[in-house]
Amino acid sequence: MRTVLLALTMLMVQAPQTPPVTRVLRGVVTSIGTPDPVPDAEVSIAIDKSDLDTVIAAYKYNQKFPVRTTSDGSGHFSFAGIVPGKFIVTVQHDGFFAKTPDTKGNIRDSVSVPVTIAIDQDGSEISVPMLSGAVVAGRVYGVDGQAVPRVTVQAYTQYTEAGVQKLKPIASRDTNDEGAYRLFWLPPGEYFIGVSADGPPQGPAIIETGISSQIYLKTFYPNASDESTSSRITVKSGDDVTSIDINLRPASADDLRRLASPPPPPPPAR
Amino acid sequence: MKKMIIVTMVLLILPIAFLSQEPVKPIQFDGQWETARDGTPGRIVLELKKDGNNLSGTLAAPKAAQPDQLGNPVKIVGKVDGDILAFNLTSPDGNRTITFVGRVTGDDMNLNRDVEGSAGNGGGPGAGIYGFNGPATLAVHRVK
Repeated sequence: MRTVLLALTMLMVQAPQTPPVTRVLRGVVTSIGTPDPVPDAEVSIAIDKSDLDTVIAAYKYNQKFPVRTTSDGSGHFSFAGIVPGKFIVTVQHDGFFAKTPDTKGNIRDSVSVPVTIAIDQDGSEISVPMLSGAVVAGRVYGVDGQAVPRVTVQAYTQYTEAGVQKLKPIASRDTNDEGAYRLFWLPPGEYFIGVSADGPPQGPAIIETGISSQIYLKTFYPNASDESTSSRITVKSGDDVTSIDINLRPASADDLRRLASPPPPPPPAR
Repeated sequence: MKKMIIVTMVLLILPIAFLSQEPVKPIQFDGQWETARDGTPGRIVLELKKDGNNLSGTLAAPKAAQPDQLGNPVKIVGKVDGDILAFNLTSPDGNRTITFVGRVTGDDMNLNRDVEGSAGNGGGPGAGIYGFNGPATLAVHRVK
């Protein structure tokens, strides 16, 4: 009797909103070309805003996005209590990159994966593979074969702008007291490795060592004056390329004269 | 005897339960909605048309340089579910997608706004309805 009265009372009260059906999304972040997982990756899940049914479902059940987590020691992550729908899972980790570049051809340092969470599936796992950054390392030597500390070594990529080939520095590190450098977290690709130099607009670019009276000119690996005569270094995901040693080019007497009295700049165009 | 009492109570109480509920009015999405009822300059005007669960229409916002004038209306594509609606539109410079989601209560509509995309060459209309720094919510009222 009591049960019946309780049921009738409940009928008189307006029915509460039906609780949402939710699902768990599981995933794993992996390093392409290796069996290694990627721990401590930052993972987020956001609504695919082009799917308005998902936008409405999240609003209806007061679900706030994006939701963030990090991958565990085995590269796994999970998001619980997600309404079925269409989402974008984005993964980011220092030194890891997306397999495919963006629409402008630039390497992306995060991976975005579209995911559909179906109402009739639960516990399915997605895999997010990432390219691992590469390492290029070596030493910088002077004319006497001595290590040169405190000079800046850069990795450059080549690109074309208005029909002209140009270099863009991607990574930069100073040499240590033994003249050694280590450029890390390089996206897979082709690079020119050179020692950074500076100078007057009309004069030669020189390398300031700060510890020797010897003046050096801008040098690319292994002993080139520019990228056209330099050896290109190609690195793949997770590569560790060593012995990319650079022998600096000493400035000639003519270079030193040009440094002392650089030619006047050309007259401005009328 | 006990069964008889239960059946009688159900028959008596059920109609009362249903009659005591307010008659459910159909949710009206169609029409013109504005941020101000009196046509104040600087208002946002939303025209909506529902077809099944789909929503179409336009949104017009004040011009950045002349806030007292409305800019060209931008098309919206939307969906409805009960009293909830969501729609997307593309910013006039084509660089951003703006998503609105919210609820209709009588002649009032309260929407949350979210922006994705890039600022564009001109930096985008930062604080406007199409910009990244625009309002997070939008309240409109039915005017037609």
